[in-house]
Amino acid sequence: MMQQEEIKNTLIEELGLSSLSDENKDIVISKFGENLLKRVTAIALSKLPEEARAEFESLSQEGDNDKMHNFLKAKIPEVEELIQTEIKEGIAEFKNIVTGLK
Amino acid sequence: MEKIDPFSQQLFSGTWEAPNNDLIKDNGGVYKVDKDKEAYATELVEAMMPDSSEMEPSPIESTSPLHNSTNNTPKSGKNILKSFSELAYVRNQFPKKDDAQKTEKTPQDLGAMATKKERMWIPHAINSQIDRMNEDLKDSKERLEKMIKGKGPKKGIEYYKQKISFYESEIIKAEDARNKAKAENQNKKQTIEIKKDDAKIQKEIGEQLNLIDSGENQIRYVDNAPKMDAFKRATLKDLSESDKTEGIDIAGLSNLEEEEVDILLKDALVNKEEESQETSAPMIVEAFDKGWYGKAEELEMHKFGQAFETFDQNTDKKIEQHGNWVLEKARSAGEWYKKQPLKYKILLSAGLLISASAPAVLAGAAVSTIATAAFAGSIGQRALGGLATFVAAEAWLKKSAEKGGVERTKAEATRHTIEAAILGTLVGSGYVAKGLKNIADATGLTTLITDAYHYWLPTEDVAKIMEANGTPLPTEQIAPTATPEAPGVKLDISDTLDVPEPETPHLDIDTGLNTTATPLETSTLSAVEGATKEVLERGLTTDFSVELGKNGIPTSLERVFHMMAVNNMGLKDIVIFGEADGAKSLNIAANLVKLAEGHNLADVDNLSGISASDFNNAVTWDQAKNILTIKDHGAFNKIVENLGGRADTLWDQGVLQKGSVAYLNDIKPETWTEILHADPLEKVGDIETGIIGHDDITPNQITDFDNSEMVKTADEAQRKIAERLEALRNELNANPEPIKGTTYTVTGADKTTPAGDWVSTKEAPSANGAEVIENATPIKIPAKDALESLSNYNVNKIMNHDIDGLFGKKGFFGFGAKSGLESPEWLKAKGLPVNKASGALKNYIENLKVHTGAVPQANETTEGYIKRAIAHFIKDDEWLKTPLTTVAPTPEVFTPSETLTAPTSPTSAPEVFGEPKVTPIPTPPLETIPKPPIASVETVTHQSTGPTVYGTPEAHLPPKNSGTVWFGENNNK
Repeated sequence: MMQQEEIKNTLIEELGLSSLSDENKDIVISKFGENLLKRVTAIALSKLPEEARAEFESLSQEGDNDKMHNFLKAKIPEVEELIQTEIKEGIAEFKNIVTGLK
Repeated sequence: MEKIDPFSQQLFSGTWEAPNNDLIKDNGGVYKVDKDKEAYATELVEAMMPDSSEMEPSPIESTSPLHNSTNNTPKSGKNILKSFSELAYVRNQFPKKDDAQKTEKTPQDLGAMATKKERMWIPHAINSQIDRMNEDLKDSKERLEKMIKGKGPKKGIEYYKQKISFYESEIIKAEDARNKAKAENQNKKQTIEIKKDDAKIQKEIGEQLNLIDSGENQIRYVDNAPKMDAFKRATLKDLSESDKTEGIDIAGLSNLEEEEVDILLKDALVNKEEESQETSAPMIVEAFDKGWYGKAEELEMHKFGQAFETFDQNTDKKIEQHGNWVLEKARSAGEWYKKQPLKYKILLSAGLLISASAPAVLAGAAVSTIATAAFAGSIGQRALGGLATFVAAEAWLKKSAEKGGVERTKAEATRHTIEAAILGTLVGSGYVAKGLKNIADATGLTTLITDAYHYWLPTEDVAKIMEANGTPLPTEQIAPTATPEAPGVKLDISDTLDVPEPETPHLDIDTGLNTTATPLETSTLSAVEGATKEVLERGLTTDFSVELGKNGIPTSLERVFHMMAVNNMGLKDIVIFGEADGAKSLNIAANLVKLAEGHNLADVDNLSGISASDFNNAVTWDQAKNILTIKDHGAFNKIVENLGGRADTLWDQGVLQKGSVAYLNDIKPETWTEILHADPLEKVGDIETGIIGHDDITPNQITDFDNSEMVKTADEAQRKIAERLEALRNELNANPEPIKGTTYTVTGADKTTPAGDWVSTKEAPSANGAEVIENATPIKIPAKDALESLSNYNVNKIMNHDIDGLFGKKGFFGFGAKSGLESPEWLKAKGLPVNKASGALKNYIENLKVHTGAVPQANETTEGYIKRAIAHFIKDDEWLKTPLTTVAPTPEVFTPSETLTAPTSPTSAPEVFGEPKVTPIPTPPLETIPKPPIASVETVTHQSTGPTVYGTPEAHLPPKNSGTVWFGENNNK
């Protein structure tokens, strides 16, 4: 669908993938997302106080997203800003790496 | 032991240094490397290597970096540098000294060596060739002519006669020059200049042969020859550094044909090339640069591969610095992500990336993604629901925005896409309420988003929302078949639904909604009842009887049941017939077959089981006469309704996604259309059956299952199942006693059952005391109406997996990966006789023989044998009924006096075959069994059930502990 393509196109432009086939674009984007997810997970949880880790584990087992979200927001008030920054840095870093290879 | 002349040995081992007497002076007074030996070496290599002009282009020649030519090519494609380079590669395949030092080897030793170290054959072959050529060149023109004669017109006798004459005259000249030089330069320090014309090639040879500083002599290059490129230099370096092997034993292996040498040589080059790809990125980059690997996109992907190598490392460093606990969680999130199908990865990536550029409040989507990853398996399945929500939401937004015929602007469309993506991500994570609030706050599109949410979320979620807000749920807004958990269902409400502008329900989005299924509100129930009613209305309307295979009725019982099952499904207004619909229909049909075969179905959740006797009250299946009789259509409809409920449950539990879904693409698209329309069953004679089908569903509305990510994922799950079965079978073989404590036995698990559909429901012990799950509630899907039988499907799966493991390329970080099935090695070998397999493939076949007990048949193709052996292994009787695939008979005739291999598997029944050509045993026409392509004339039919003996069995029984012997091979060699 057009919209889904559009969102992908934004990413393609951002990451400089326009010369690739659709299949390869997907591969790069998905691989990039894996890194991002690991990074944002790490940066977010790194700010989680140690004493809150047990509760995090418990919530993980429980599987209640609502509680988990509230928990993360409560324990890490700046979590969203942290994530945004991390993602932006990740994009910039990746683009720099790619540029350096050219 | 055959001897190699000292020059060749030194030359090719990289230890040769040019002493004074190997340097001659040409007419210009410049010393050069003994030209006759150079020419000799060139000729040796040329004669060994196939002439590119005489061969079809091969992958090796087209891709090998070694085939780069220089301007000094003395003959097209055959310069000495190329030859040295190629030999450098080949020489790297030499065995270790330990192996080489063995001087006496029995044929068994050699066979073992070939299996363990198949590359051992290569040096033997080369040295054997060298030796033979050496003899020919020195001692006999006739021998050389004879040997070369078969190489083709371009290497005709006359040409070689001229060459030999030339060498003879050159050798005389060289000897004179050498003697003169020796006299002039004895005990004299000197500088040797290499003539400019020859400088380039001599430089390279000189570097390779350590000629730069040979004793007191100095070589100065008077030509500014371009520096040898890094790749070639590294290649040549390999020769001098890694190949120091001496005393290679080549005894006993001198019977290789030249053609075999060529094949082995190519194998070696390919292997080396692949190794270099994996271990030496800079070389590969250079290779890409030089176009050796073709397409620019591959180079581009390689660049991204390299980028990810750095990026991955950076990521690891970043997450490691936060300590082990964080590291573990981050890696866990990464692992969870990896398991998601590609399109969900794209969606999740999109959600994350958009979060970086959207208003801060939208970063909640990323938080939810983290939460989702943290939950990993517990709600992973729910996360997949996000895509359907995304697709639906964006369609809703489009529809709403363009009401009145005004197209959206690009900015609006983008914004809607973002909103829909985030909604999808949030729904996937289960964090619905917060997501709605965030999106509404950020966009001001509260009504639209909540409408979309209201319309498309799972019924139980909507019901819960309604329950929380006391708002009645309009029944017309329930789409019974639009299950968000069915990502493949592509719903475009803009095209089909004219949804009235709803009154915005007041949602208390701070309530913290629980998505756990709860009893539905009355209004919701009425909707469900409505859906059920539709199902019942679509059922059979009368009793009737049909003979399968007559008057257009399908020959397969399962196909007939499949048509009935689909007919009964409520597919009204469906836009796309997706994975969920297909898998459920397959499941229902397969269960009907099971019931017809006399099996019982156990309870599933709140759905009571169905006994075979209940089924028989409604349906009679006379297998002998192929007649299906519906005796009580009302009872039959209820059974189908029950099975539909089971299928729904199994889908919700994620069971069918791992099982039945894998078989969706086994049915051709046009066959799906036939099943959905069910035209042959609409009237039986003059009786209208009520099977009206879904004629309104067009082929375009049927999902392309071949390209479905979900199907691909299920295929992978099936492969793992096959591996588990293998492990289980091994365990059973090792321990034939029943495993105590298990709740089921393998015998109940039909080989054609998609094991992913099994449910470990408690079942009453069977008559023999074993607890058997034969209810197979989700049951097998024997794809009798598929392109190929399930059994064949499994055989192919295993073979494909193995061949991919042998010849596939992993590429860099998943880029550039190539299927082993498309590799030139496999494409070339699969149709050849199995006894012609070489290298890794031969090793694999040896293993197959040992582990399966299947004996290669005379002229059986490699692919045919592998499949048959696998079928033996998984005890797939159906597949084994298919004819053997054979190739044209070769002069190597299998005779009864030859020794056959004894099956070594304790569970394998001895299978003895006699004459290579027997009268085929007619097999009943089985619609389910595709006939593998028969490569040629000779067909041998066999059976696998129990020992099958053709001819005189005694003559073929192998002696105990006999070694493996290939057909057509001379065991006395």
